[in-house]
Amino acid sequence: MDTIINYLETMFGNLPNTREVLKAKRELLQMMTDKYTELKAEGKTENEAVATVITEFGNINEIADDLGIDEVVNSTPNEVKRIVTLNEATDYVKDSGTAGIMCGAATALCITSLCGFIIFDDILPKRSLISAGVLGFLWMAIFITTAVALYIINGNRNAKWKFLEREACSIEYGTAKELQKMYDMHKTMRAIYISGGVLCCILSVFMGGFVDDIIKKHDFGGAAFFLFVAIGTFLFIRCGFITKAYDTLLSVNDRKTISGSFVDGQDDVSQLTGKAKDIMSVYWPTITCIYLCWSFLTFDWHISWLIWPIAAVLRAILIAILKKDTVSGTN
Amino acid sequence: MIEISSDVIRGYNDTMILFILRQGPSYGYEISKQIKQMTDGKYIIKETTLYSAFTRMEKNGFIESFPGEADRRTYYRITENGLSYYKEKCEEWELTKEVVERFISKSFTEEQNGYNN
Repeated sequence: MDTIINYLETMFGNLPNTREVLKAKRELLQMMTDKYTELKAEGKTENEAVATVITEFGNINEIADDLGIDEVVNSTPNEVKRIVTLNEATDYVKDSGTAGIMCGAATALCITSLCGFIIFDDILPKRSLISAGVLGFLWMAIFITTAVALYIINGNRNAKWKFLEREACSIEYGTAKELQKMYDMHKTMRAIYISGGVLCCILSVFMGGFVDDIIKKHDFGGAAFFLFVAIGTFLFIRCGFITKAYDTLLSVNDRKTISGSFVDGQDDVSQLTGKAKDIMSVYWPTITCIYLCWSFLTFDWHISWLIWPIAAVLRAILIAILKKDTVSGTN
Repeated sequence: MIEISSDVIRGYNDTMILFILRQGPSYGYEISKQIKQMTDGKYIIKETTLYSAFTRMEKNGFIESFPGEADRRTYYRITENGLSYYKEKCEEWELTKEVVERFISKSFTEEQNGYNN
C-alpha cells in the first residue's frame, strides 16, 4: 500500500497546491485503495495488487485539463532538479549536528575567553612573577584562537552542502516522510535542549552569588556567570543547527506544490483553521508566562523546567484534538 | 490480442458512467468495477479517466456529488440534465453504430462467401 501512496505522491509532487488538485489526489487515492483492498481480498499477493492498481491508474495528463494545471504538467519535465536522496539527507543532518557542536563550542570558548582575567586575578598571589593580566590575556588568546580555528574548519567541512541552497533541489515524497519522522523525534530533543539553555541562562544570573557563597575563599562568581551563559549558548546553537538542517531539507521542494506542502507539516498547526489556530498561537507565550511566574514565585527552578517537556506533549495532544474538530467540521 | 482503442471509447465513458448511475448513486471504484464486470473485463476504465469524467460531467451539471454517510467516499448521482444527456448519447451511438456498421465486413470469409448476395 505504501508503494501506491508513494506512486501517487510522486505523480502529484510537482502540481500546484490548490484545492482542486488536493481533491483529485484524495479521490484517486480512495479509488486506488478500494481497488487494492478488493484485489487483496481476492487473494492476490501484495505485488500483484500493487502492480494492477498502478498499471490501471492511467495518465496524470488526462486530468490536467480539468484541474487547470495543463501548463504545469507539461512544463515540469523541462526543469531538471537535483534529487537529494535519503542517505544524503541523513548525512547532512549528521554533519549539521557536528557543525552545531563545533560552532557551539567555538562560541562558548569566545564567551568564556574573559574568564581567565577573573580566575587568575583571584588565585595568583599579589606579587607573583607573572602578572594575572598576562596569564589572562594568554587564556583569552588560546580560547579565541581555538574558536576561530573551529569556525574555519567548520566552514570548510560544510562547504560540500552549499549546493542545497544554490541549486534547485528536490526531495522525494518517501524521503520527506522519513525526514519528517526524524524531525518529529528531534523536536522532543529540541524541547530539552532549549529548556536546558533557558535554564542555564537564568541560572547564570543567580550562579554568580551562589558560587561566591559556596567557595568563600575565592571570587569565582563572575567566571561562573560566563560559564553558564556559555553552556546555555552552546545548547541553543547545537539545537539550532539541527533544526535548520531539517528545515532546509524539508523546504527544498517548492512550497506551492503538493510535495512542498507535505513539508509545512500536514499534521501541524498549519492544517488547523480559525479558532483552533488562534488558540495554538498563544500556546507557547502562555506556557512561558506560567513557567516564569511559577519559577519566580516559588523559586522551584529545579522542578519548574519540567513544564517544557510536558507542554510539548500537551501541545501534540491538543493539536490532534483540534485537528479532528477541524476535519469533521469541514465535512 | 485486440484491445479497445482509447480514442474510440473516449466519447462513451460518459455513457457508461451515466448508465450505472441511473441505477442509483455510486462512487468511483464501484463504478469502475461495474464497468469491468459488464464488459467481462474487456474494458477497464483508468482511474484518471474516471475522475476526469466525473469532474467534467459535474461541471456540465450531468451529475452531482455528495459525501457518503457511512464512509468518506464521494458519491455521485445523475441529474435531470444527465438523464437527457444520456438519452442523447444513446441515440447518437445508435446512429454511429448504424453508420460505421455499413463499412464493417463481418469477416473475410463471410465477405467472400456472401459476394453474390
